[in-house]
Amino acid sequence: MPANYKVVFELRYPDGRTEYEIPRVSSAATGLRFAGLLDQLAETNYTPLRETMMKILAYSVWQEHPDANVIRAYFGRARLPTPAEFHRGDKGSYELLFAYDFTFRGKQPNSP
Amino acid sequence: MRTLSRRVEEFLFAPCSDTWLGILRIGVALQVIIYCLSLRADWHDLFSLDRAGLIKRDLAEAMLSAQNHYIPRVGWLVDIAGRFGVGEQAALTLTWWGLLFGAFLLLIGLFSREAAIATLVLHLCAVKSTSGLTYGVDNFISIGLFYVMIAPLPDRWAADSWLRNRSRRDNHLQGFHRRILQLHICLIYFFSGITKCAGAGWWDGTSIWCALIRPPFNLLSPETLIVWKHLFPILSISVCLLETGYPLFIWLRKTRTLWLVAVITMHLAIGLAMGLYLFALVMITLNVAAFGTEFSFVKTETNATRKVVAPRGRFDRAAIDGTGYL
Repeated sequence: MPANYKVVFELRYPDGRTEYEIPRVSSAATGLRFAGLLDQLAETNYTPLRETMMKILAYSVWQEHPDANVIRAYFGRARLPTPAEFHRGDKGSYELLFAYDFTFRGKQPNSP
Repeated sequence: MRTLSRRVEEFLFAPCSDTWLGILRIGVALQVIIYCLSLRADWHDLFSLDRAGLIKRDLAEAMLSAQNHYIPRVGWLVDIAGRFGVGEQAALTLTWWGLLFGAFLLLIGLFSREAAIATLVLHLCAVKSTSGLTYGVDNFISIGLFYVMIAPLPDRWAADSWLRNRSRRDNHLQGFHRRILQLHICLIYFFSGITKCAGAGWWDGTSIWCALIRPPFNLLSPETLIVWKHLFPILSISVCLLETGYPLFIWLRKTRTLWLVAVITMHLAIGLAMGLYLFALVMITLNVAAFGTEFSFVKTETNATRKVVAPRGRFDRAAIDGTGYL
């Protein structure tokens, strides 16, 4: 049973603003598939490949927010409670696995 | 030795009607149609290099090339379209329509073989070019399409049978193809069951609980599920037994109905509780095509066949009635 992974992007703007964004898809069917992508990202041990995949995800977010100049991508794992833990009020927790900073310059380059 | 080879031959080539093929063809075609429709909104984002997609196909295709240069991919289709002056976006649109049209032809059974080949190739292109965004259902659709593609088409319900006057194939050939599908499904369930048995979470119910509360499969709230917490260990051990025991109990006459109904119920429950409707549909299709056709269609044929050939033993009876069951 794969773990429950999450990815969150922190968008930093030149004026000091910070926003948070998650990857968006148009349909529930693609959402199911995205969960598989996160599993694959977590299982990728070759760091340059994992970084490239994270950069592509960050780039897709940056295209929606082209004014941001730095995107920090957080990748974490949700620890799900067991039935007994949930009964005691434990709702689970998140654990950061890795984070990457990506710098984007200019508006809409052709590739990340 | 001669008896053994004869028994193997009778097992593999047991006569069988083409009902299984009709079910498989229609089920898999419906599956591909739903696949196309479910990805319609994201299709260009998934495959286009120019759009703000989640993950670019060039990365997936570069990883494919590292494995094998001959694995089908959308990049090939875009390149071919480019030689005719068709842009990437138009090529992707054509691919989507091509897949949908191929699946529709397969559904009605017109140009069945050509439609099965085209649908399998286009589906493989789409799946392999989004390898990071695929899950089990895509593999099972490919498996289903492959069996339809190599099967003795057309079946009795296919438009080819009555529109193009294509003759239906030998029952022994039908039986052989169906037998291979049956053995394949048995292997899939056996290894799936063994893998589950190896995980501690499947013995105390934790795995089922986690699967049900894990986004995006959490259709039921944990507050609702916790009421049934004592059922999870029973359910998960039942799933382990059901899958590991499938290759044995699906062949035994006394248990096959129970096993088939239980497996279909399991897939229905997974589909409804976790939102994996496509996965449920493809597994039910494969199960019904492989093992479910006797229940309503073969009985007449069985009796007729038995009148002609006198049974010589337990195994022969199984082979003669077209089921291979003991």
